[in-house]
Amino acid sequence: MKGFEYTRPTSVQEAVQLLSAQNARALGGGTDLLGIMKDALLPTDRVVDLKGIQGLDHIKDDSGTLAIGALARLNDIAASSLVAGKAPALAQAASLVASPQIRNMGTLGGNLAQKVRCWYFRDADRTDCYKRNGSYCYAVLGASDLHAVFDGAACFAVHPSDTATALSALDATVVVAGPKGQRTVPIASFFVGPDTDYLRETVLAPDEIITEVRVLLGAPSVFLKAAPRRSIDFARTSVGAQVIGTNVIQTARIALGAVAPTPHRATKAEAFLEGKSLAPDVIAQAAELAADGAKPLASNAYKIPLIKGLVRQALTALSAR
Amino acid sequence: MSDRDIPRSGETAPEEALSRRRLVFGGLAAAGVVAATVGTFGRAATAVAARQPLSDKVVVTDPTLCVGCLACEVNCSTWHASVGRSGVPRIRILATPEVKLQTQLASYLPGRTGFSPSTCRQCPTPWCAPNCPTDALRVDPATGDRYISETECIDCGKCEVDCPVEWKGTLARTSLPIDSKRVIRDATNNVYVKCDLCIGRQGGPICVERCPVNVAIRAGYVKSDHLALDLRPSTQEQWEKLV
Ligand SMILES: Cc1cc2nc3c(=O)[nH]c(=O)nc-3n(C[C@H](O)[C@H](O)[C@H](O)COP(=O)(O)OP(=O)(O)OC[C@H]3O[C@@H](n4cnc5c(N)ncnc54)[C@H](O)[C@@H]3O)c2cc1C
Ligand code: SF4
Ligand code: SF4
Repeated sequence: MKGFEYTRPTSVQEAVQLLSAQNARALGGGTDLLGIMKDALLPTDRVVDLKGIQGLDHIKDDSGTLAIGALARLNDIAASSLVAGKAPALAQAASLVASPQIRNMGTLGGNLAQKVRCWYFRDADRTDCYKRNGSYCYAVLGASDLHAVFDGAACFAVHPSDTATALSALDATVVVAGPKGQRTVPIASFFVGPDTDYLRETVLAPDEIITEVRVLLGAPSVFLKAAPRRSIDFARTSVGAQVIGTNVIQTARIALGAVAPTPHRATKAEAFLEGKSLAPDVIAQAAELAADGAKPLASNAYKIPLIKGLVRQALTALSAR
Repeated sequence: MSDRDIPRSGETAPEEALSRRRLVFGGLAAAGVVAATVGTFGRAATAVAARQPLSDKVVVTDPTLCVGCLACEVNCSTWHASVGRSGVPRIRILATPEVKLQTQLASYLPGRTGFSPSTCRQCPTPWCAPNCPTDALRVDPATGDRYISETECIDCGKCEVDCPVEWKGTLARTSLPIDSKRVIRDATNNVYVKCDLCIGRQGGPICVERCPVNVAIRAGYVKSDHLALDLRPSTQEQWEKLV
């Protein structure tokens, strides 16, 4: 691994200041960043270890809002009875990430800010991939099993985060700290696609960090994930769903993971569900609509039936509540 | 549409416009034939389109070779923004379900057909130029490249009105409609933009360089005697065939 400067700030302000240097990167649990540094995928001259900052690992009910610190570990989120009871999709997503070891190290902030898992991007030799500041996408005319069926533009890597899918269904808010202080970003505008900037996956500036994620507690939600292996595997497709309304649906949110460069909201299916109840025929039609507009590459069309199947299962699970 | 490019004999230009054009194009107007186009467009005819040197390049697009990856749009935005120009893409992919992908590509990517790239045609007679009040719409004397100097553009929109080529349809990227001309407005930065052939860029137009189908054709993986995005001189004959 190339040499780098290790810093351990004790406050958010100090962290942000340290991150203003060129090629400085925040460190949570390191389960993603260390792999990237080892393979020298992205230049990293300074590591800013956030774990020295006290009070960023809370999981609490803040008068009806679930507030989770960016340094909360995925295992703690998965094990929290508050999260399991009031935002079940997030607890399920956290519990399905990788393996116990990675969930013990991995933080919520790191999970949301992780880099893509495209196998070409992660291949140290492919330095001309867009995500590495290059000029070519290997996936378009290459092996695209892992890649986007929606919204690919120049780059077709999908966002790999499981919690991002769940939090999109829960319409969470991300609290971000930077040199100018704090701002809150709705999760629906937190992630950016390659048509905005193919070098990043979120709105975060290099000197901004996630400090907290906030979710309104309450309505039933569910998260499901399909992956070849039961553990230590990224989603090939995942779904987070939440419905608000007792008999008749007022609001439905369906977020699809691992099918687009950002969590992909199935807006047509959501609109279709409004004013209806979750009867089997309604669920079947919503599942069809969820895959509307998908444009597969050479080897990822299998994601289309996966989307439909997972949405059907997720809505069926919600209808039973 | 092609008759718009044929200067009509017997028509004379208003004196005022003529002298202004001489100023705009300087030596070019003096060297070339000044063609009058009064009344050709069904609108107030103050325009005088001077016969300019042909653009020695235009991006010739072949929809049957486009897999809709949007690399051209994204790179167009990114490069122009990186040199301080508007980031609005000057090449756009329209959704055109009737277009069928070339067979070799279709056998590999059956789901990715029906895309149509298009951009400014670098018209042999640059209709967009004469009415620009600030002379922001220019013809590069060396290459004939018709381009907008965005720092001079005052957002008046005359070039869009004068451009004879429509840009209508559904954008593949957003599924939203586009209803413009090949000169298009950047509503955020209040300027008009058009394909400037990446003027100033080493290596020429970035879309042509980076289109992955072009890369595959150049490498011999995809068999085609021309590129998906190809550069050719903008002759009248070529112009008439452009998408
Ligand atoms: C074998 C393996 C399997 C995995 N499987 C899954 C999976 O199934 N699902 C899944 O979602 N993920 C998976 N991951 C990815 C990921 O490493 C973890 O999910 C983890 O949550 C990342 O958190 P971290 O704290 O370790 O991040 P780090 O590695 O510390 O950081 C990741 C990135 O986020 C940035 N960052 C960290 N914290 C912050 C912050 N507070 N604000 C701003 N930026 C920040 C870092 O600079 C870095 O770029 C897997 C990883 C491995 C190695
Ligand atoms: S999908 Fe994105 S990350 Fe993967 S090779 Fe293409 S440009 Fe690189
Ligand atoms: S880069 Fe090439 S294949 Fe991709 S959208 Fe543009 S013209 Fe089509």
